[in-house]
Amino acid sequence: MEWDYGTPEHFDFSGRGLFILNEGNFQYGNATLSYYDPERDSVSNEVFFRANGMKLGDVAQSMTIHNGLGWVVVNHSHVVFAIDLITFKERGRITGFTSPRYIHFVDDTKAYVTQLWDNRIVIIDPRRYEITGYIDVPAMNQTSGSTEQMVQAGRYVYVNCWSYQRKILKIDTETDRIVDELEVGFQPNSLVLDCYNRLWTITDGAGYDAPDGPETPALYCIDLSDFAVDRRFEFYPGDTPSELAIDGEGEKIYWINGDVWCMDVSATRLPLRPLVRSRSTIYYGLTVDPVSGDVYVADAVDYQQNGTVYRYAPTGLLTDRFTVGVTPGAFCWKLN
Amino acid sequence: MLMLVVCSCNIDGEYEALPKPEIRFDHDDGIYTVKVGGTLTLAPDVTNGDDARCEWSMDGVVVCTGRVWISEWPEAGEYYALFTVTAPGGVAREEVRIDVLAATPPTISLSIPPGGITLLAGSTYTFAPRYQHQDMEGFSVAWYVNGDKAAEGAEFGFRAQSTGHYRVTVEASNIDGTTVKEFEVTVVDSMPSKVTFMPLSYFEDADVRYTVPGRPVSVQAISSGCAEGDYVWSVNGNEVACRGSLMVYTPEALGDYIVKVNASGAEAVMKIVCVNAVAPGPDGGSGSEVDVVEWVPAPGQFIGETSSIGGMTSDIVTRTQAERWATARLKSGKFVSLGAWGGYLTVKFPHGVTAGSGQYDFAIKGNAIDTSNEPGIVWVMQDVNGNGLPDDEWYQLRGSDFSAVGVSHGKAVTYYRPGGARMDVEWTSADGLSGMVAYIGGSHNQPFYYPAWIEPECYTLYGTWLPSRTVYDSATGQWSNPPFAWGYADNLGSDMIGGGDTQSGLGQWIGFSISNAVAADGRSVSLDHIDFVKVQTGVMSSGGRLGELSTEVCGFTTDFGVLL
Repeated sequence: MEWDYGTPEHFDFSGRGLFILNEGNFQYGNATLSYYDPERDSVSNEVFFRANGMKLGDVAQSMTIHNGLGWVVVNHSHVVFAIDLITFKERGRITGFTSPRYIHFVDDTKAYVTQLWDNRIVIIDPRRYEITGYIDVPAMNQTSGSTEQMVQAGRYVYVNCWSYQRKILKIDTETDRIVDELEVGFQPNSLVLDCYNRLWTITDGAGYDAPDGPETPALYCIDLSDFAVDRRFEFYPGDTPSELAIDGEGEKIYWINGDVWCMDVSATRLPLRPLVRSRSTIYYGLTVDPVSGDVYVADAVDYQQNGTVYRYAPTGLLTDRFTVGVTPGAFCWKLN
Repeated sequence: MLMLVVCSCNIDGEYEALPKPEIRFDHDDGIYTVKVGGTLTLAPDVTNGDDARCEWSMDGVVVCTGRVWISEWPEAGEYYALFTVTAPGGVAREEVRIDVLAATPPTISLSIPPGGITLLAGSTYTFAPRYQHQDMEGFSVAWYVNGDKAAEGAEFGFRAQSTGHYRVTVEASNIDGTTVKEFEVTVVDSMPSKVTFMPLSYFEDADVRYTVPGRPVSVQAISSGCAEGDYVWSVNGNEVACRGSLMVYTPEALGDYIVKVNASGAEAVMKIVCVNAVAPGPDGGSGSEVDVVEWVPAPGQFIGETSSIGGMTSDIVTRTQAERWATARLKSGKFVSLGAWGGYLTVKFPHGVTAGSGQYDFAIKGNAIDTSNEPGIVWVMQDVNGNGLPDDEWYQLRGSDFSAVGVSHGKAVTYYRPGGARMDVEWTSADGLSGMVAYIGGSHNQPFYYPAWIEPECYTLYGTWLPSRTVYDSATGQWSNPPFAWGYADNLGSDMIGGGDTQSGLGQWIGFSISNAVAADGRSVSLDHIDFVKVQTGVMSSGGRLGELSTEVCGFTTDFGVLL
C-alpha cells in the first residue's frame, strides 16, 4: 500500500455514513479506515491517515460511536483512538491495553473494553481517556483470557468469550461485576440483541484437534428473562458460521457461513437458502444498514490485496461494490 | 384497514374464525436428501386442512397437486420446493430443500510403493487400504488372488509359498456401487538387488550430469538392499575409494566420465559430461523477472486451491499450465506454495546471477511472520551446457543448520494419490517414516491436495530434511514455527534484508550468497555465476487446523536497489 498523501487533509463528512475497518495484516502495521457515503455511493479510503498524517496501526478490530466521537479499537497497537466523526481527526487516545477487541459505552462516563490474552475487561473513563479499573473474569488467566463483543439490556452488559472459551458473561453495570455466566458451544464468536430482548450468538464449533474434541457449530438464542438457552440450531460439521449481525428493527439476523444468510428471529429452523451466495469470495465482515436494511458484506479477497465491499438490497440484489483496504473485517454506522 | 376474517357459522348462529392450516414436515430442518436416480416421498402433516387444496411447486411451476408428492431425481443438485395449503381458514406455505446427492460408492486408497510390491516366499504382507463411504449401508470388502476369492474384510494378509507374479484384486462395495483396485505382487526366493541414482529433479531424471573441470558432481545411489559401506564405485572403469551410497566426483579435464556403481550385485551407470561452461548473458545478471521452469509441489492445502487466496483454476492440469500459472503468479508478487516437505519450485534468471563481492547475490521474497516460518532450502545451478534446461548440477546453499543434529541430506519421500476426494494424502519415506498431509476442509475445499499435473499414482521427492520446530501451546491453542538462524527462504532469519521489511505489506526478502554453495558432502563449490534457483520445502510438519507447513515464495530478484 502506498502512503503518499503527504500532509493531513481536511475532511467534512457530515451526515450519515459507514466506516469500514480494514484490519490489514497482523504485524504489518497496515490497518486503515475507510468511509462510505451510502447516499452518494462513494468511498474514501485511508481516511485516518489522511486526516491525521499517521498510520492507524496494526489490526483495526472494531469501532463504536458514542457522543459524537468514533472510538476505534486497534488491537495489536494496544490503543483506542477517539476521532471526530466529521473530520476524522484524532481527539484523544487511550493506551495501556493488552490486546483490546471491542468497546461498549455504559454511559457518558464509563465504557468497557474487552481483551484477548487477558482475563480482565478494562473500565475506562472516556472523558479523561483513562483506564479507571478492571473487571476480573473468573476461570481465565493471562494467556487464556478472551472477552469479545458486548450488548446491553437494561443494567446488564452481556459478553461473549471466544478464544478457547465457551461462555456468555453477564455484567452488572452498577457494580462492574460479573453476576452470572452461561455456557454455550465452543468459541462463541459474535453477539446481537433482538427486538424481543433475546441474545443471539454463533459458536465456531471445533475440529479434531480441539481440547474437547470435535463439536458442531451452532446458532443460539438466549432468553434474558432467565438467562438460559431458548433455542439452538445446529449447522453442519465443518461449517464456519460467524459475523452475526442484526437489522435496525431487531427482527432479522444475518451471518456469514461461506454464503451470507438471513433468518427471521421468530424462525423455528435455519434458512434453506442463502441471501447472497459466495463466488470465489472470502466474506470476512458483515453489517446491515439500520435504516434501509441494505446488507454490506466485505470480501477479504486473499488477505493480501485490497478488499472489496459488496452492497445488497434487502432482497439480495447487488446494488454497489467498492474497494477498501486490506482485510476489511468490521463496520460502524454513523447515523447522522 | 380492512381485514378479511374467514368465519363459519356454528349451530347457535354465531360466527367464529376458522383456524388457519398448519404444515409440519418430518424433517425439522426442512432439508431432504436423496441419491441420484432415487425416489423421494414428501408427505407433510397438515392440520386444520379439511377441504384444503394442496400444491407443490418449483420455481413457480406446479409439480404436484395433493398433499403427498412422490418424485424422482435424475440429476445431482440443490432444489427447492414450495408446499402450499389453501384451506377455508387461510393459506399456509412451507419451503423444503432437496439435496440430490451423487452416488458414493466406496473409494480405495492403497499405497503401492514405486516399482510395485516384491515379497519373499512365505512372508506375509498386510494390505490395509483407507476407504471412503464405508459407513454406508451394505459396505463390504472382498479380496481376490489371481481371480480366486481369498479373504473378506477391510485388511488382507497376503502370503504365498510359490514364486511368481500374483494379481491381487480388492473389491469394496456399498449400496451405491462397487469399486475395484488391482495390483501385482511379485514373490521371490531372495530379494533382487536393484540400484538407481537420485534424479536431478522430478522432470530431469536422465542419468547424465554436466560440470566444468575442477567442479564436483554429487552422485547418490539408491538401493534398498545394499548396506552403507558395501557400494563399489568406478569411473571410466577405474575403481574409486568411495564405499558409501554418495560419491562426489570432480573431473579435472574435459570429456565424458562413465560412473558405475555396484550395490550387492546390482549395477547402475551414469555419465558425467565435463565441458567448458557457457558464458553468462551480456546483461550480467540483474532483475526480478524469472521464469518458472519446474513447479513440483508436494501435496498441500494451497495446491489446486481455487478460492481467491489460492488463485488457481481447476483447469491447471498439465506441467506447462502449472508453470505458466506460477510464473504469472510470481510476476504479480503473490505467493506460490511448495506444499509439504520436498515440494519445490525452480526458476530461471534469463540473464543469470553473478557471484559478486557483496553480502548477497540474489534475494527471495516469502511471507513469514514471527510465529510462522516455513523454511525453504535453496539450491543453485549453473547452466554449464548452455541448453537452457536445469539438467546440469544442483548445489545446495549452506544454511545455519546444514550440519545440525537431525538434519538429513538425500532424504526421499513418496506421496500417494488418495483414492477419493477430500482425503488426507499419505506419505512414506525411504528410511521408514510415514504420515499424512491432512485435508483441512472448511479452510481449503478443493477436492484434491495432490498436484493435478503429476500423472502417476505416486511420486518421490528428494532433498534435505530439517527437523520440525513446530510448537503447540495448549493454553492458548496457538501453533507456531520459530525461525531458523539464517540461510532459508520464507524464514525470518538474520539474513532478512533491511528495507524489504514486514511493515510495508511487501513481505520480507531474504538474501542469499552464491559463495555458500556446497556439494552433497558439504565441500564448498566455487561458482562465478548461476542461472537457476530452486527452493524446496525443508520441513515436514503439521500445525493442526492450520495444516501442513509449506514454504511459500513470492518473488526473486537480483536488483537490491528496489528493496532498499
